[in-house]
Amino acid sequence: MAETLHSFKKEINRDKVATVLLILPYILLFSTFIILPVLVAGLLSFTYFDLIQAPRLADLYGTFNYVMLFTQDENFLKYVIPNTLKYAIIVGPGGYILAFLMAWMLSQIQATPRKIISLALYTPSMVGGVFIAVVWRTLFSGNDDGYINALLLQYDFIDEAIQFLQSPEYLLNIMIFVSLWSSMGIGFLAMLAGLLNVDKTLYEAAYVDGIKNRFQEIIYITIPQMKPQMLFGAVMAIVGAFNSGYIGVALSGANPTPQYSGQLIINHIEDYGFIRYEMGYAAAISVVLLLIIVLFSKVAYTLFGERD
Amino acid sequence: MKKQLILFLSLLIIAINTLAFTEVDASSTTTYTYAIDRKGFFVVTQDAYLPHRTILDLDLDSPEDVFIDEFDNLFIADTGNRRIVVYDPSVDEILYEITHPDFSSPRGVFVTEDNELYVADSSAEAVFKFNVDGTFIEKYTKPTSASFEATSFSPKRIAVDNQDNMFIVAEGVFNGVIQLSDSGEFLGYFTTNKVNLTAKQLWENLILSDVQLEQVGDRNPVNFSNVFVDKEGIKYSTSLGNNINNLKKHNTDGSSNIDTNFGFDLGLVDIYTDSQGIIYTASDSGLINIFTSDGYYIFSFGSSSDKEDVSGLYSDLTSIAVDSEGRLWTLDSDKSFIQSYTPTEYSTTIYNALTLYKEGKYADAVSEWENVLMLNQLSVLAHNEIGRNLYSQGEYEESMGHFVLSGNRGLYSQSFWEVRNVSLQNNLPFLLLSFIVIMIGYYTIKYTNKKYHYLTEPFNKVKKVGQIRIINDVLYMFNLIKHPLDSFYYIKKKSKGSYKGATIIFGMFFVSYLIFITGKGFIYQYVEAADMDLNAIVLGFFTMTLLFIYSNHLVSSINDGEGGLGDIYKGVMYSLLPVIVALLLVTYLSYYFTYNEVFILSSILNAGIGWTLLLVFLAVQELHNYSIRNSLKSILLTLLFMAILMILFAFIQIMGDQLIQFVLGLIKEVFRNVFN
Repeated sequence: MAETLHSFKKEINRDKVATVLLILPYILLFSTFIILPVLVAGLLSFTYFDLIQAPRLADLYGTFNYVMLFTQDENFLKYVIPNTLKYAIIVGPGGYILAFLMAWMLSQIQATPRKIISLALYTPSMVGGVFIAVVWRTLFSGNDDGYINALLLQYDFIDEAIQFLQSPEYLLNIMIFVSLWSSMGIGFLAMLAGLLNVDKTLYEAAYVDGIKNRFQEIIYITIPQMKPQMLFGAVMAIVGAFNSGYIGVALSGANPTPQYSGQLIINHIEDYGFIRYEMGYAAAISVVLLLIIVLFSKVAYTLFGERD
Repeated sequence: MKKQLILFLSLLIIAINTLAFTEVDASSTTTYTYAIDRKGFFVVTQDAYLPHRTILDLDLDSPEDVFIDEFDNLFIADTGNRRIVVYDPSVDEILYEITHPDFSSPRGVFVTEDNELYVADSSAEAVFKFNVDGTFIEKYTKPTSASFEATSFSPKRIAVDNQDNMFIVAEGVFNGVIQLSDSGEFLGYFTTNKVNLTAKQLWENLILSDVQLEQVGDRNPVNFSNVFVDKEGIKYSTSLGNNINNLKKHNTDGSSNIDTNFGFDLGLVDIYTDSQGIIYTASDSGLINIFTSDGYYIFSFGSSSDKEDVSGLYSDLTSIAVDSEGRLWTLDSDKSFIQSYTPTEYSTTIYNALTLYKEGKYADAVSEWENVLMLNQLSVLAHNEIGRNLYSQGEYEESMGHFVLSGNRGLYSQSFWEVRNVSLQNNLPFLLLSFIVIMIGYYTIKYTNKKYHYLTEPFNKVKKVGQIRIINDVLYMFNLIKHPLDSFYYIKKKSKGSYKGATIIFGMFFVSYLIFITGKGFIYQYVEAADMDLNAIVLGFFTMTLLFIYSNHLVSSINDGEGGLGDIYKGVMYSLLPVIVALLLVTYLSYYFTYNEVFILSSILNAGIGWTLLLVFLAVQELHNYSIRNSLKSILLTLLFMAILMILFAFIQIMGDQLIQFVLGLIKEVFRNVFN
């Protein structure tokens, strides 16, 4: 009896060792490359750090960077936060809905055109900011030769070229437009995959049960069936919306953007981190950004997550 | 658009008033001075200028332009007599005349800093350059440049900058202001006006051939009427035309940096500035409009009349100039006289205060503006400028009150941002602390309640209140948020919701709508509640909502709709929750939000309205058991039917009036015939 119990305990211990060994590579990689940097950033946010001298604790028991951010940084409060909110509220849900609609439309057509069109839709987010900036900067160019200015001038809508990318009243809206245009990212692919995987027999069953049109099909069958992909798409959309700052800088060619009109949080981080080398302050902004994204992702989880 | 119309009408009224009241005016002025109040209407203000001298005895014949040099001598282009008259008002005599055998109709005159006199002559098609004492220097005829070949050259007005570049407004030249170099070489057009095409003309441009386009008439940009260069070399120009910047103050590249688009044609024919940068303009209606150097309207006075000979009234005001003492000298070319004005204390105080602000002496400027307020308590300009001065000094809280009085919402918003920022920072520790306390309190109560259940009893009581029929009916609207289709189905089956509940929600909507319309914060309340026609708002509100429900019932009952009138009423009312929340939330937040956060407010409002519209759409779909296409059709038909009904009502009302008049007339006729 005691013998068997002992061997059983041994068995369990061996299992534990095996489990630890199995997850060890993952744990190691994850902590080295994800957890550690985040922790370091969090710690740096309580210091002054300019990449040359060693970091030293900030004033006010280390909270100086945060106090500064929320009380003294007028540009952050006056422009960056309203801009980021506007950008995120439109580009996040807007891009999400657009991605879903596009994916749903594509799922309705034959395989070959679907593959071609989905590749075309996915291209903008694949090739990245520089390419987008090149295309749209040509279109919105501020001199008489820019395509849109040339058209407007030719038909007498304006009498002098509009500085689309340098004037505060246009830049943010153009950024939003371009971001929506390139919003068919990874979330779009996930939703397309999810749509194609919905069991066709469910639709037939639902029609037998009395649903009548495509709209009801989507509401009652498609969306409940692809909840995981919807959640993934939503989180990707939120993270993307808060994290994409390259477009404003790429379009206007300057950081900070003209009169802070297109300045998003991520640009602000870059401005302080890589232009002014105030790493501690930049880290503090990053932590705030992280908290905002976590908060909004929580909202997405409550909306789309499985409750069990 | 509406504002422009109001402005235009008030101008008309001014014109009529000034004519009617000229004889009963007690001061020596003959016309009232008008300024704009904070709602954009013209109001009578203190007299800004008093008529000074009316000079008739210079034997002028339709003089068109006047210029004043640094010694306060008047250079008058005496067009009809083909001469330039140099007149010294201090001794009241003509010093000398300048003539040239080629003069045909000298219409524009300009004297530069280095004492050279330029004369624009449209019939001689030339510009003449003299020394100020009258010695002829040079004659510039049409430039030989190839790009100017097809254009005629008949210079009408001229201005010259410090580098002796000539800026010429010529007749029949639509391309812009001609710029000539010192040697008479064509340098290009300094500034151009845009061709203002109407929608019809744009359409014609698209569809007509070139030959047809030539026949429909000219598409020329509006004409420049005058040009001026001040002592610092800044160029100004005036143009005649609707809905453009009639007055431009030019950057070096020719674009304008002031906004003087009033929506209607100011009719400006001349412009002049003084050493303080104040802009004086004369318009063909006899009005003299005065602007700050930033292009803000200050006030205007003067009027036209071709019958009466009253000083201050013009039959054809053509030119204006200012001397070093701030006196205005104006020309009437029809009756060929010179009229001068002296500024009152009111206007000189305003000009001084404006200059003090430009020099950065904000505290002095404020006290100067307070002097203006002593003369005119409601001066919008004074309040606005005091606000700006206080803002520049960092006294944000004080400036807000003045911006309210001047109706300047943009700057109020900026001041408010600063004030709010300070108070947020002061309260930040308190806010954070209370947030943490609330969170801790919430979770402790939540977890202790799990163990001891002391809250279960009160909660049950609250729940019981919620189960009272009528309250339960109202609260049912929250179900619509999560499960709209199912909830409408239960409403249709009459198992949930009631007429009473729906009516209470309707009442809530009405109240929140009224609060929204009348009660927003200053920044967002563009029309004050006192100026609103509440009857029209209330009537419009009920007509539109109830008409929609009734029309939808009519349309759906002939289109196989399953829902009855009552179902539609309940369905629409139960869809109102998002818009009620949005209206109240936006109204509340409008007191704390500046223009920086306008986007948040507009998205809340749009989301609320959009959500409610979506719910109404779903209600139509579910209540009538329609497909999407049929619901869309039903809603569009409903809107169409609403329009038809409204037109019908309007008809009935108009015709009804006629009918009543007819019947009354008939009765009167009968009475007359019977009793006479």
